[in-house]
Amino acid sequence: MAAKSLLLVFRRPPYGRSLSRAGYDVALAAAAFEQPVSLLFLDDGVWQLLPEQRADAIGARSISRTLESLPLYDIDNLYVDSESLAQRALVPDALVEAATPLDAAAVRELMARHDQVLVF
Amino acid sequence: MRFSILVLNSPTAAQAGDSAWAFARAAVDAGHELYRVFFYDEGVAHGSLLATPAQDDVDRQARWVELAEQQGADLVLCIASAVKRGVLDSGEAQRHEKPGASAHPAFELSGLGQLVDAHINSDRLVTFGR
Repeated sequence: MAAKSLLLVFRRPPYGRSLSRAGYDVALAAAAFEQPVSLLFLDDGVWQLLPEQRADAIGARSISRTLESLPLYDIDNLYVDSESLAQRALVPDALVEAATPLDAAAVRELMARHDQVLVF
Repeated sequence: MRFSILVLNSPTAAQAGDSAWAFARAAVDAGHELYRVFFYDEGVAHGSLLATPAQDDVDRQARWVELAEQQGADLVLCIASAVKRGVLDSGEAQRHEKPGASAHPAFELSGLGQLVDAHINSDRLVTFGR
Protein backbone atom coordinates (compact mmCIF):
# COMPACT_ATOMS: atom_id res chain seq x y z
CA MET A 1 0.00 0.00 0.00
CA ALA A 2 1.30 3.44 -0.92
CA ALA A 3 2.27 5.66 1.98
CA LYS A 4 1.21 9.30 2.22
CA SER A 5 1.98 11.50 5.16
CA LEU A 6 -0.96 12.58 7.30
CA LEU A 7 -1.03 15.51 9.71
CA LEU A 8 -3.84 15.50 12.28
CA VAL A 9 -4.48 18.90 13.86
CA PHE A 10 -6.20 18.97 17.25
CA ARG A 11 -7.77 22.36 17.96
CA ARG A 12 -10.38 21.51 20.63
CA PRO A 13 -10.14 20.90 24.35
CA PRO A 14 -9.81 17.22 25.36
CA TYR A 15 -13.26 16.75 26.90
CA GLY A 16 -16.81 18.00 26.46
CA ARG A 17 -17.24 16.83 22.88
CA SER A 18 -16.64 13.52 21.13
CA LEU A 19 -14.40 14.90 18.40
CA SER A 20 -10.97 14.74 20.10
CA ARG A 21 -11.36 11.04 20.74
CA ALA A 22 -12.43 10.63 17.11
CA GLY A 23 -9.18 12.28 15.98
CA TYR A 24 -7.05 9.80 17.92
CA ASP A 25 -8.99 6.91 16.40
CA VAL A 26 -8.07 8.22 12.94
CA ALA A 27 -4.42 8.46 14.01
CA LEU A 28 -4.39 4.84 15.18
CA ALA A 29 -6.21 3.62 12.04
CA ALA A 30 -3.78 5.43 9.74
CA ALA A 31 -0.82 4.02 11.66
CA ALA A 32 -2.31 0.52 11.43
CA PHE A 33 -2.32 0.96 7.63
CA GLU A 34 1.33 2.04 7.79
CA GLN A 35 0.75 5.68 6.92
CA PRO A 36 3.20 8.13 8.52
CA VAL A 37 1.17 10.19 11.02
CA SER A 38 2.05 13.41 12.85
CA LEU A 39 -0.09 15.23 15.40
CA LEU A 40 -0.19 19.00 15.88
CA PHE A 41 -1.84 20.61 18.91
CA LEU A 42 -3.12 24.09 18.22
CA ASP A 43 -5.44 26.60 19.94
CA ASP A 44 -7.44 24.90 22.74
CA GLY A 45 -6.06 21.57 21.52
CA VAL A 46 -2.95 22.26 23.64
CA TRP A 47 -4.97 21.41 26.77
CA GLN A 48 -4.88 17.80 25.63
CA LEU A 49 -1.17 17.68 26.45
CA LEU A 50 -1.44 18.46 30.17
CA PRO A 51 -0.33 15.51 32.32
CA GLU A 52 -2.27 13.85 35.13
CA GLN A 53 -5.73 14.40 33.69
CA ARG A 54 -8.39 12.93 35.95
CA ALA A 55 -11.07 12.31 33.35
CA ASP A 56 -12.82 9.77 35.59
CA ALA A 57 -14.08 12.71 37.68
CA ILE A 58 -16.42 13.61 34.78
CA GLY A 59 -17.07 10.06 33.65
CA ALA A 60 -14.84 10.38 30.57
CA ARG A 61 -11.99 8.25 29.26
CA SER A 62 -8.61 9.89 29.78
CA ILE A 63 -6.87 11.36 26.74
CA SER A 64 -3.54 10.99 28.60
CA ARG A 65 -3.71 7.24 28.38
CA THR A 66 -4.30 7.45 24.63
CA LEU A 67 -1.34 9.82 24.26
CA GLU A 68 0.89 7.44 26.19
CA SER A 69 -0.07 4.57 23.90
CA LEU A 70 0.85 6.40 20.66
CA PRO A 71 4.51 5.22 20.58
CA LEU A 72 3.24 1.61 20.53
CA TYR A 73 1.69 2.47 17.15
CA ASP A 74 4.89 4.17 15.91
CA ILE A 75 3.31 7.61 16.26
CA ASP A 76 6.25 9.59 17.61
CA ASN A 77 5.86 12.97 15.92
CA LEU A 78 3.90 15.25 18.25
CA TYR A 79 4.07 19.01 17.84
CA VAL A 80 2.57 21.90 19.76
CA ASP A 81 2.08 25.50 18.69
CA SER A 82 4.16 27.77 20.95
CA GLU A 83 1.87 30.75 20.45
CA SER A 84 -1.18 28.77 21.59
CA LEU A 85 0.76 27.80 24.72
CA ALA A 86 1.79 31.38 25.43
CA GLN A 87 -1.78 32.65 25.01
CA ARG A 88 -2.87 30.19 27.71
CA ALA A 89 0.06 30.88 30.06
CA LEU A 90 1.35 27.35 29.56
CA VAL A 91 5.03 26.46 29.21
CA PRO A 92 6.39 23.46 27.28
CA ASP A 93 7.81 22.00 30.53
CA ALA A 94 4.27 21.65 31.91
CA LEU A 95 3.26 19.25 29.11
CA VAL A 96 3.79 15.58 28.44
CA GLU A 97 7.36 15.57 27.21
CA ALA A 98 6.79 14.05 23.79
CA ALA A 99 5.47 17.21 22.08
CA THR A 100 7.92 19.49 20.25
CA PRO A 101 7.09 23.23 20.44
CA LEU A 102 6.97 25.02 17.06
CA ASP A 103 6.74 28.70 16.20
CA ALA A 104 4.29 29.97 13.59
CA ALA A 105 6.75 29.62 10.70
CA ALA A 106 7.55 26.04 11.68
CA VAL A 107 3.80 25.23 11.94
CA ARG A 108 3.33 26.49 8.37
CA GLU A 109 6.28 24.41 7.21
CA LEU A 110 4.87 21.35 9.01
CA MET A 111 1.51 21.72 7.26
CA ALA A 112 3.15 22.30 3.88
CA ARG A 113 5.27 19.17 4.00
CA HIS A 114 2.40 16.73 4.73
CA ASP A 115 0.37 15.19 1.91
CA GLN A 116 -2.94 15.55 3.78
CA VAL A 117 -4.07 17.61 6.76
CA LEU A 118 -7.18 16.74 8.79
CA VAL A 119 -8.53 18.95 11.57
CA PHE A 120 -10.34 17.75 14.69
CA MET B 1 -8.22 16.24 -9.30
CA ARG B 2 -9.71 13.49 -7.17
CA PHE B 3 -11.45 14.63 -3.96
CA SER B 4 -12.73 12.88 -0.88
CA ILE B 5 -14.69 14.57 1.86
CA LEU B 6 -14.86 14.06 5.62
CA VAL B 7 -18.09 15.24 7.30
CA LEU B 8 -18.02 15.58 11.11
CA ASN B 9 -21.31 17.25 12.05
CA SER B 10 -24.94 16.18 11.84
CA PRO B 11 -27.12 17.75 9.14
CA THR B 12 -29.52 19.19 11.72
CA ALA B 13 -27.01 20.75 14.13
CA ALA B 14 -24.54 22.49 11.85
CA GLN B 15 -24.01 23.93 8.41
CA ALA B 16 -20.90 21.80 7.81
CA GLY B 17 -22.81 19.16 5.86
CA ASP B 18 -24.37 21.80 3.61
CA SER B 19 -20.96 23.34 2.94
CA ALA B 20 -19.51 19.90 2.24
CA TRP B 21 -22.25 19.14 -0.27
CA ALA B 22 -21.91 22.54 -1.98
CA PHE B 23 -18.15 22.05 -2.20
CA ALA B 24 -18.54 18.54 -3.63
CA ARG B 25 -21.15 19.73 -6.14
CA ALA B 26 -18.90 22.61 -7.25
CA ALA B 27 -15.87 20.33 -7.56
CA VAL B 28 -17.80 17.85 -9.70
CA ASP B 29 -19.25 20.65 -11.85
CA ALA B 30 -15.71 21.94 -12.40
CA GLY B 31 -14.72 18.55 -13.80
CA HIS B 32 -13.12 17.02 -10.71
CA GLU B 33 -13.76 13.50 -9.45
CA LEU B 34 -15.50 12.68 -6.16
CA TYR B 35 -14.08 9.45 -4.74
CA ARG B 36 -15.67 9.06 -1.32
CA VAL B 37 -17.65 10.93 1.32
CA PHE B 38 -16.83 9.65 4.80
CA PHE B 39 -19.29 10.53 7.57
CA TYR B 40 -17.66 10.38 10.98
CA ASP B 41 -18.62 11.15 14.58
CA GLU B 42 -21.91 13.17 14.59
CA GLY B 43 -21.75 13.24 10.77
CA VAL B 44 -23.21 9.72 10.60
CA ALA B 45 -26.67 11.20 11.18
CA HIS B 46 -26.64 11.96 7.44
CA GLY B 47 -27.20 8.24 6.85
CA SER B 48 -30.33 7.77 8.97
CA LEU B 49 -33.12 6.14 7.01
CA LEU B 50 -35.66 7.27 9.57
CA ALA B 51 -34.80 10.97 9.77
CA THR B 52 -37.65 12.89 8.16
CA PRO B 53 -36.95 16.51 7.26
CA ALA B 54 -39.76 19.07 7.45
CA GLN B 55 -41.64 19.45 4.18
CA ASP B 56 -40.39 22.97 3.61
CA ASP B 57 -36.76 22.03 4.32
CA VAL B 58 -34.03 20.71 2.01
CA ASP B 59 -33.72 16.90 1.87
CA ARG B 60 -30.00 16.81 2.59
CA GLN B 61 -29.72 13.05 2.45
CA ALA B 62 -31.43 12.85 -0.96
CA ARG B 63 -29.00 15.29 -2.54
CA TRP B 64 -25.98 13.35 -1.21
CA VAL B 65 -27.42 10.13 -2.61
CA GLU B 66 -28.09 11.78 -5.97
CA LEU B 67 -24.58 13.27 -6.19
CA ALA B 68 -22.92 9.99 -5.20
CA GLU B 69 -24.94 8.03 -7.74
CA GLN B 70 -24.05 10.46 -10.53
CA GLN B 71 -20.38 10.22 -9.62
CA GLY B 72 -20.12 6.57 -8.67
CA ALA B 73 -18.74 7.83 -5.36
CA ASP B 74 -19.05 5.95 -2.04
CA LEU B 75 -21.06 7.25 0.90
CA VAL B 76 -19.48 5.64 3.95
CA LEU B 77 -20.65 5.88 7.57
CA CYS B 78 -18.02 5.12 10.20
CA ILE B 79 -19.39 1.92 11.69
CA ALA B 80 -18.33 2.64 15.28
CA SER B 81 -19.78 6.18 15.17
CA ALA B 82 -22.97 4.97 13.48
CA VAL B 83 -23.79 1.99 15.69
CA LYS B 84 -23.47 3.95 18.92
CA ARG B 85 -25.79 6.64 17.49
CA GLY B 86 -28.46 4.19 16.35
CA VAL B 87 -27.68 4.11 12.62
CA LEU B 88 -27.49 0.37 11.83
CA ASP B 89 -27.62 -1.62 8.60
CA SER B 90 -29.42 -4.95 8.60
CA GLY B 91 -26.25 -6.90 9.48
CA GLU B 92 -25.50 -4.72 12.51
CA ALA B 93 -29.17 -4.72 13.56
CA GLN B 94 -29.11 -8.52 13.61
CA ARG B 95 -25.75 -8.69 15.34
CA HIS B 96 -26.87 -6.34 18.12
CA GLU B 97 -30.38 -7.83 18.28
CA LYS B 98 -32.17 -4.60 17.34
CA PRO B 99 -35.65 -4.57 15.81
CA GLY B 100 -34.61 -3.25 12.39
CA ALA B 101 -32.12 -1.49 10.18
CA SER B 102 -32.01 2.32 10.34
CA ALA B 103 -29.29 3.17 7.80
CA HIS B 104 -30.20 4.33 4.29
CA PRO B 105 -29.14 1.57 1.86
CA ALA B 106 -27.12 4.02 -0.26
CA PHE B 107 -24.74 4.42 2.69
CA GLU B 108 -22.25 1.73 3.58
CA LEU B 109 -21.21 1.11 7.19
CA SER B 110 -17.49 0.49 7.34
CA GLY B 111 -14.38 1.11 9.40
CA LEU B 112 -11.83 3.91 9.56
CA GLY B 113 -9.79 1.95 7.02
CA GLN B 114 -12.09 3.49 4.40
CA LEU B 115 -11.03 6.96 5.55
CA VAL B 116 -7.36 5.94 5.39
CA ASP B 117 -8.03 4.52 1.90
CA ALA B 118 -9.57 7.87 0.90
CA HIS B 119 -6.46 9.62 2.26
CA ILE B 120 -4.24 7.38 0.14
CA ASN B 121 -6.30 7.41 -3.06
CA SER B 122 -7.42 11.05 -3.20
CA ASP B 123 -5.43 14.12 -4.18
CA ARG B 124 -7.32 16.10 -1.54
CA LEU B 125 -9.22 14.97 1.55
CA VAL B 126 -11.22 17.94 2.83
CA THR B 127 -12.70 18.14 6.35
CA PHE B 128 -16.06 19.83 7.05
CA GLY B 129 -17.27 20.35 10.60
CA ARG B 130 -15.75 20.64 14.03
